[in-house]
Amino acid sequence: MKSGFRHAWVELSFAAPALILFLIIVVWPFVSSFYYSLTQWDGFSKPVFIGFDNFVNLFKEPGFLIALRNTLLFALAGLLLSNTLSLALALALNKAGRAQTVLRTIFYLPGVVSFVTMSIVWTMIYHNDGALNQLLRSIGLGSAGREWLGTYDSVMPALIVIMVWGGVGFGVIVFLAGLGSIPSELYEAANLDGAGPWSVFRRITFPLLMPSITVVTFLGLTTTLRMFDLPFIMTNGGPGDASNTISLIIYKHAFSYSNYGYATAGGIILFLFVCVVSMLQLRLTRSKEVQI
Amino acid sequence: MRALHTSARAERQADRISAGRTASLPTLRVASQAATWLAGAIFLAPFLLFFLNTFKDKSHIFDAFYMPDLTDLSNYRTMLRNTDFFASLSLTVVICAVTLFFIVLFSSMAGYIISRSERRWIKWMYALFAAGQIIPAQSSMLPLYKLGVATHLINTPVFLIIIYVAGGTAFASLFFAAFTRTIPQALEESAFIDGCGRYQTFFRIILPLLRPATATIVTTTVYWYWNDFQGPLIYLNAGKVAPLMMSVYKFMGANATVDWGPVYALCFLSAIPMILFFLLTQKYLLKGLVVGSVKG
Repeated sequence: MKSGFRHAWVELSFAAPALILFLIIVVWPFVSSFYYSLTQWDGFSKPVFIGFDNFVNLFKEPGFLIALRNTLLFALAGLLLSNTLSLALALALNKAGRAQTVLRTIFYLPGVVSFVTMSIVWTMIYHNDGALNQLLRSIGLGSAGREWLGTYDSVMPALIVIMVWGGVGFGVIVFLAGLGSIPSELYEAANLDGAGPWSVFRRITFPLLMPSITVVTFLGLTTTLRMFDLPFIMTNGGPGDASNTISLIIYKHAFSYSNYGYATAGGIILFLFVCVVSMLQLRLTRSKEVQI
Repeated sequence: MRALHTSARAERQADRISAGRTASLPTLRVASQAATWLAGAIFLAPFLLFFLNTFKDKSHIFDAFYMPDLTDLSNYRTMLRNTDFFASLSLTVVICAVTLFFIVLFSSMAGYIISRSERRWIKWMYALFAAGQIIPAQSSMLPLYKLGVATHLINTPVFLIIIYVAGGTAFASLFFAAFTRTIPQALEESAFIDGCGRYQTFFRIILPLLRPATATIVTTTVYWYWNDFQGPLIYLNAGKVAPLMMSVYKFMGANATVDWGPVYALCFLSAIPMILFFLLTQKYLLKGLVVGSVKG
């Protein structure tokens, strides 16, 4: 009796609960989305087939293009700011015994509260009479103060700061683990050869950390590309369309305008968007991974 | 398990490296230490403000530098009078517990079969579960919503739990499969010779050995269900009792322009269980994230 099971139905019975649920709740709704995206459908009457009209109209809607740009901006900011900050903090903490334990916990802490909580806390910080403007006034920069979430130029950076605050800790933990698995012999050899800190980082640490970077960027991208809760609660996509995201537009078309077919088409575009960006990212970072 | 040993050894190595390099770069080290502590303080500041705001009255709520009277619990009292806090809390606890129970049960079974069977359709199932991770909730939201309406399960906690279990099981199956591969098959074979059936073997022998994997799944994913907002917003918007995050959102909508204090009190009490849970179980969470990312 190697690994084989004598009866296929025994195997099926073990897999069935997971598989059946997955097929009904995840696969089937997703597959049928492709059909609904080609229809005009209000959720109650029968869907009417209209070909690719929804997709054409989506790309003609100026708000959708802004949402596409904002979604990409969230993803890029997450990629560049969160990753760089996570990496810098992990490098600093890597040399710090007890401080590492305490600070690691602190950096991860925002990750265990909900976006609802983050929104409520930061709404107050960004308010016209709130902490940020107060802080600016107290250091004599009062003129730089503003209603951070109500101004076109500052709403995206303001939301990105919250996103980074909430997401950095995960990267710190994974990078610390990655740093810990780099063999010390490499550093000793580099020391003997008289390599400076920058070339040690560039030639040893960074390449060997690449697998961790792949994981952190992949999970970061799939989260930021779906960004919904923060703009929904804090700005509802405003002012104007300045902080709209694809997820938010989809939600609004579905539940505010009962434009189900149109919203579903947006969902398909979001899916393709996530696929393409993740594939590009995996290809790029995987190709940089090295074996010891 | 091997990964855990490797990481422990790696930690010791890292200590040795740092000891070696510290001597050569003392200033850089002091500067980077100071910078990380400063960063830590900046990361914590919103939490301090969060806590203090739950005690502030209407006229001082925006004032970040105002020190409120920490014995004045009137915001908490107002909040408890105007919300179903304890009903929401119980509902959220039940949703999380039931969801995680079924996820662990179904995915440990599926993961066992994935790791032990050679059949092709099992490999396909594994690929399907992995690919499913990339589908955004918005892409299948409306057909799922229709399904909820058609089955009359929409706006019931049952529907939300089914959705969580379906998605979570696929993810956890991949994890359990990887973990089950590290359990030697000799154990099952001797149980078989003693006359145990497949099910008995699984529930008596394998499932208890999966305890570390179960701890990882619970401590890394409970936050998704406790903190989820989009799920209840779409599928449990008009239930009798709202889960915690939904009730915070609704209470904010009803109150915020008038009086933020009680909103903060509700938000704080809703967040504190997960903060405590994290502080108590972070050991398992860290192990899980590290192993998961090394394998991933």
